Amino acid sequence: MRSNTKYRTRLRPATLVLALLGAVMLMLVIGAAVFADLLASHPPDRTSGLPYQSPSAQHWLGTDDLGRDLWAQLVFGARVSLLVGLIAAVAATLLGTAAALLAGWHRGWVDAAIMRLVDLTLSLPFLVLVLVLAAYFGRGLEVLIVLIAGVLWARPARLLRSQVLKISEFGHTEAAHAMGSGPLRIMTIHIGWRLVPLIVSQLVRAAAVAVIVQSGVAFLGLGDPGRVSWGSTLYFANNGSAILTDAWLWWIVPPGAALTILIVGLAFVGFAFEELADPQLSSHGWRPPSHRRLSETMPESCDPEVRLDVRNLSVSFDEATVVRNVDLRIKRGRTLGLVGESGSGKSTLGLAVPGLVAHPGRIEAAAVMFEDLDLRRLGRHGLEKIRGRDVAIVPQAAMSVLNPTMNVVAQVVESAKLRAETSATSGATERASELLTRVGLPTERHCAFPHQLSGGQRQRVVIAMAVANQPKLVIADEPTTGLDVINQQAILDLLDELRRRLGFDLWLISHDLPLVASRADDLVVMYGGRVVEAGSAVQVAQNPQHPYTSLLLKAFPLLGDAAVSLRPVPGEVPDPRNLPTGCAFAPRCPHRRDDCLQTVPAPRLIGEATVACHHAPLPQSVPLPAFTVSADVSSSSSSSDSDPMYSQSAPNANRFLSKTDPLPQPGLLAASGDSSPYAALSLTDVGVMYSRQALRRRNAEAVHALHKESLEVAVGESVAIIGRSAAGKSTIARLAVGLVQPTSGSLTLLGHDLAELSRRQHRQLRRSVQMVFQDPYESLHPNMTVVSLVGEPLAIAGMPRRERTQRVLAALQRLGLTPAESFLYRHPKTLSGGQRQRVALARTLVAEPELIVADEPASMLDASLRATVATHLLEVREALGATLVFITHDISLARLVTERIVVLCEGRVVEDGPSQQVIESPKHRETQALIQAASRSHHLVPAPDKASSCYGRSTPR
Amino acid sequence: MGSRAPSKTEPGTASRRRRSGVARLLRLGSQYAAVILAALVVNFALPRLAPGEPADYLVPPDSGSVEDAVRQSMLERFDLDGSAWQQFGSYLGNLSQGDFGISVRDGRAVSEVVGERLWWSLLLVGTAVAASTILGVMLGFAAGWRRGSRRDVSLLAGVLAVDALPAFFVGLMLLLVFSVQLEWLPVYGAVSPEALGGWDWIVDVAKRLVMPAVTLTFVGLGSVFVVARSAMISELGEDYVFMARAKGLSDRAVRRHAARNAMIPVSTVALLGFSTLVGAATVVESVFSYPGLGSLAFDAVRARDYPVLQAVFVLLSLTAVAANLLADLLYPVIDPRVRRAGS
Repeated sequence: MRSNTKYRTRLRPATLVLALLGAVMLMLVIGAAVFADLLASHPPDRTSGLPYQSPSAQHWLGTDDLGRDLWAQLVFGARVSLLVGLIAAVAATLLGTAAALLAGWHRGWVDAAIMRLVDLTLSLPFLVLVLVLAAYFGRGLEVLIVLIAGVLWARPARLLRSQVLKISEFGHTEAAHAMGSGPLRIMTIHIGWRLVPLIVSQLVRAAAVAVIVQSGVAFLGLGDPGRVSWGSTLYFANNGSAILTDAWLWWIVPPGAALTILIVGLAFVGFAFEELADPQLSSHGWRPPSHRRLSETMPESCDPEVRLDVRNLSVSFDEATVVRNVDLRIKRGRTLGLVGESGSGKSTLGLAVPGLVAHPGRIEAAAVMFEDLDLRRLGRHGLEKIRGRDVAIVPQAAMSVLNPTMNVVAQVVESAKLRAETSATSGATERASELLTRVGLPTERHCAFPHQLSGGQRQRVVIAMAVANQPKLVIADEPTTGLDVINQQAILDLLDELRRRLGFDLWLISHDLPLVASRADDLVVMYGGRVVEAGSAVQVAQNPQHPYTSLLLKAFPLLGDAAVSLRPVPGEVPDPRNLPTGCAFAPRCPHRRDDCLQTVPAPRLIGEATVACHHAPLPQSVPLPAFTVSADVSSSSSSSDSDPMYSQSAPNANRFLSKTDPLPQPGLLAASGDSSPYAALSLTDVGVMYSRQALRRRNAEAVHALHKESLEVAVGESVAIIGRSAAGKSTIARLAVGLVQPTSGSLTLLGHDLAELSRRQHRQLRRSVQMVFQDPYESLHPNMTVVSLVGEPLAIAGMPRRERTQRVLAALQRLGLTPAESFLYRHPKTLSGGQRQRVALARTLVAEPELIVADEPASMLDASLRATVATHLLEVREALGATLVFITHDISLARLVTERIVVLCEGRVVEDGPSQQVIESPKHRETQALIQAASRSHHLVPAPDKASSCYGRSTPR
Repeated sequence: MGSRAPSKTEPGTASRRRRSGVARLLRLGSQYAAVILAALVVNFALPRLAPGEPADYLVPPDSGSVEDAVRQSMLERFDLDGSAWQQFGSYLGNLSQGDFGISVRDGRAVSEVVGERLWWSLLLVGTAVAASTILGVMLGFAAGWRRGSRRDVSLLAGVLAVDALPAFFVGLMLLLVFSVQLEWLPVYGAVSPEALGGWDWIVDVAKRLVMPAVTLTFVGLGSVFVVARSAMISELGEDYVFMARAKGLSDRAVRRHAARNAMIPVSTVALLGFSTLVGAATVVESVFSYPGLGSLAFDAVRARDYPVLQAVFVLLSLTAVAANLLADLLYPVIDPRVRRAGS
């Protein structure tokens, strides 16, 4: 819950004021231009009086050296400036946009050629070029406008192109591509739409430049001799030596001020659009949180055994209270695990203690005692002195928190120097190197830059910084998220080992209950911003008293468990802005009673655990209700009677495809005599190599090369592809949907050899394949409504709107988004996390694909949501009878989702077989390692007698 | 755009070795050679593309006094008799020897005319680029650091407004206040003929540089400021800044982290701004009668002195290309992510 990463897209008040001011200035000039005939009683370009007159009733601003009325020149001059600004800017921006789209779309040599042309145009001195060209081609205003546009297009082209490249890799653009959308649709809806604010800001900026150039040319006396403009007035003023007399006041200042007003107006308005175009610019700056209401009573004498004692702490942001009245204590020598689903407030709590909650967060607490120091009373600079010294933090997403332009040892040196009495750099460098070696970074990598390290290595560097100053407490916020199972274990082992050696206390914050329980001495479970259960890890994990803890434990698929299906916690985490009045968990709770909805349960001591539940302890004899796959997940949906449209499998799902370019009949493999005539996906010696540029642009670890591998997935099969990060799993997914092309070998999709298909046919084929992206939210276009998002595959296939809406409604209904009508016109950002996942899956459902490719769906989210998504995915697959390729690094999840497991290691298939067999008798070392890591992290719930050896606490302390 | 992916992928492991520092320099070099060649072609072709015969510009047909023979000799003198290819060949040949031809206006060698202006131009534009970059970065970072604060908003509005003032208007106003009214600063030129040498000379040059340089700095200030500010804002939203705070660094150290990364886009803009300022210098130099290349170009346009115009154009293009090249070379120094394995 880092609010400083959440951007607001609306304009900030200050910008709004600037924009309004700019608009008023523009209106002033536009008004003068429109009503020039009414405002001036003399012609601007003919003598209407004596030369060099001072202002009078007749001539408000006097006359120039030829006796022309200066006031008339002022108001008529607005016309020329606006004309030039408008026409040249529109032409230049259109030209630039076209060039940017062309370059960004075609890449390769087209891009190179356009960009060199841009370089050339940009490198030429602008005004000189216009002067030179004007000298050759004449002085007419029309010529000048063409010249300005011809020089001005380059800057927007350059900026827009880089934006086009960025947007091309947004989830929703890739999703549209994977859906088989044509180039026109992608260019307009997916790229063009998101370019609009930038285009407008470039247009305004170009207008300002055009005005400046035109007036400059006219000031030099090289402008259109037939037209009076502000520049030409100043030209005559300069030649008439107006600055040597009092005439400057009415001859120079008015046209100069008019130009300034116009250009400032354009600059202000353009700036406002720029802020709109870059939502990051309208984010909050970082400001320390405000602590409120210091209670005057000092807390009772501190227990020397307690390292950290938090009493009654609440954190609230503008509209939401994210953490509510939390008590928490960490005893010396014990590791605390804080657990909850995303949105439970656990990270905010962890950040609130060292004062890292960003503006506008407000922290209230009765006490935050760190040993005998009340952290609330320290103030900003006091907290600064605690952070990184006594209290160290390993922040969330530690893989991306290193400064990309500093080598890692220098970043550790910064930490090491904090406490050194003399800030001797040499000593600090030695110490930093020592720290890096201690966390397991090989010496030759010490001077590497973050991008040269793997995710696990970067995580180690962050840990080295955290332990640099002999901290007493280390707060590790989701230290394993984003790492594969094997790295997760290695990092936790490292933290454990450092903890024992350096003697700090560890506060582990994670959504992974079994993982934390296996490492922590004490567990605190949070829900809806409150602590719902707290106690020793053994107690809480093996004998959970709160229904939520109990359900959350079951949400984790465990390798050794006999369960054969996923059991996500039903329903969704509540929005902190809109918590239920009673127990926050009541709406999802199977044991809910009336009083749960009325009052918030107070924490009670039950056995050795503190539980906030009205009816705890749970009756041990009564088993928790079983959550079967389809009925309970769609919590609010009561209509489970299946829709006939989806209940039968759809062998020819794309019957509404346009018939203009029919696909050749598949059947190349028909001779094999299988039950199905062809394979859904077949790779023969497929190799994929990424270039360095391509790797640099995307997360180098998310995609990785494939070495001449062969793999066949039969129709109707469900296959999991597992492996650690960078094993090449995602590459296979991206190959299947055409986001990556094989460098060698041949790829057959639904019986078609891709090499034999035209681009158009390939596009059509892709409509029968749907991809579920890692982060379904990113695969949703933020400006589109649910109806067009879900209906997009149908729109691509050319289905009429009315029919489309019907199908979308049916799909929403089926995925439990009810009443479906109420969701149709909502934007993704108004949906909750779970709802977004379902919208993404509804899109897969309406497309009726023959092959579904799921690339680590929801892997960054908590286990419960991941299980929910997987459950929905299975449901969709079942309804469609589709083939499923499921990419994951979690073998225990794969076991429950698919019948067959393929293990990938460094771009090669190392094991392939039925799920049960692969797990029970793994042959390859990699498979064994994956299984071992999975069982270590999740080996908690089974037989209690084995527990002691599985807690990782065998070593006495 | 996956279907375009093959164009981005390269076969085999060669890609790893291929990109040594030398290869990068070669690639950059050839690209810039192409840009320079294109600039030369444009420069060569422009007078020939323009309506009418190039000879008409050199020797206006309505001048009457010029005999056909004179006209012919002029054509020969300016290499305008042969085919387009021959002309281009001799144009390049002459250029390579630093021979830009002869000024139509006063018959002196163009290289000489340009030569005496070049250093004043470099002094003026160099000062303005340095001043606007330093000032723009400082103000931009200060504004972006506390985004939305009173200081940010007033700096933003102020700089945008100053940036919007037309250069010639600023120039005229400065002249009016400091030279005409207050009589603090001299009005015209780069150096007075009386100042012979030593300290006097330096003071005189500096005095005459102040107003044009300030005017030109105003022109370049806005774009650097805006980029520095938004770069600072977007860097402050990055995770590594959060990390810097989390690990207990002081505000100053945190700012240093962000500034380091924010300099990446700023350096590009500052160097690209060079060519903008060279262009804007035309106006400024003519206001202050400063003897730089800009006012030379302006005079050449008015006198239709095409050999001089072409020379100035080539020179300015080369300078701009050099600035671009510098930006490209600087990029990997500032941003290690761009560095290749071999370099």
